[in-house]
Amino acid sequence: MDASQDTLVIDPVKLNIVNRVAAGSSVSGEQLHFKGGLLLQGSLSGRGEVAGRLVVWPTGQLIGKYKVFGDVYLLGHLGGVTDELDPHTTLECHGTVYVSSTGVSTGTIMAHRLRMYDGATLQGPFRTLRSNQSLPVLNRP
Amino acid sequence: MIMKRMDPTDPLDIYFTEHVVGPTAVVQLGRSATVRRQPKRGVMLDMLKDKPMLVGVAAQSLLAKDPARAIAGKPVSLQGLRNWRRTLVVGGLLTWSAVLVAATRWWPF
Repeated sequence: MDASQDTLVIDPVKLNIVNRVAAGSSVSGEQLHFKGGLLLQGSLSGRGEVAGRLVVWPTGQLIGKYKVFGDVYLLGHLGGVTDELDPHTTLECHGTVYVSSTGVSTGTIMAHRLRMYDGATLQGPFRTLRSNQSLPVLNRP
Repeated sequence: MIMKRMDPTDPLDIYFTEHVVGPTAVVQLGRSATVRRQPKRGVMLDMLKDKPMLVGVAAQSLLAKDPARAIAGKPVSLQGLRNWRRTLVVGGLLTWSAVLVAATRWWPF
């Protein structure tokens, strides 16, 4: 493991990631709601929201309009891959979006903070969410 | 709109999370471009707040029962974390030694 790189430990129990779309699976809908975080290893499209953290795995793909009430770790694709780009993909994140070296975004990202890593591909626009646009969200214990 | 979190202490939830979502995974995000591409000349303003965060995470991981769980969800450089943990331990020992020396010197026996 290269020591100069940033490492992320994904502990589903600690991070409350209780939902998963497995690799090869595809979920689509107009009113999807995930209570708790989501590990996205397959494909997710349509509209919806995630009440927790969202981890888009390198095999994962997110298309459509989604609101995330937590941090987003983008290791896969946002807005589809090259042959099926969706210009209307919008991700609204009430936290920090981390775009890893394998992450590709062709959609619009709106977030409080953005952190990109060397090699990350950001082809769509980014907008900073102001704090007055943020919603009261997760009840922290 | 207020949303409640699922109760992470419920054993059934923990069981299903561990068996359906999976065990703890470690992924590399890549080099942090904004932090490591510092110019050799000129003034670098420290606006990234990366160092205090790293010190905080290092302190948490030193005090936590499970260090891996303490850094979950916080992307960090393992090398930097190791250095800061070492610095904190050495600093703590030196401070403790200084306190002991001062106490033995000034204690009215």
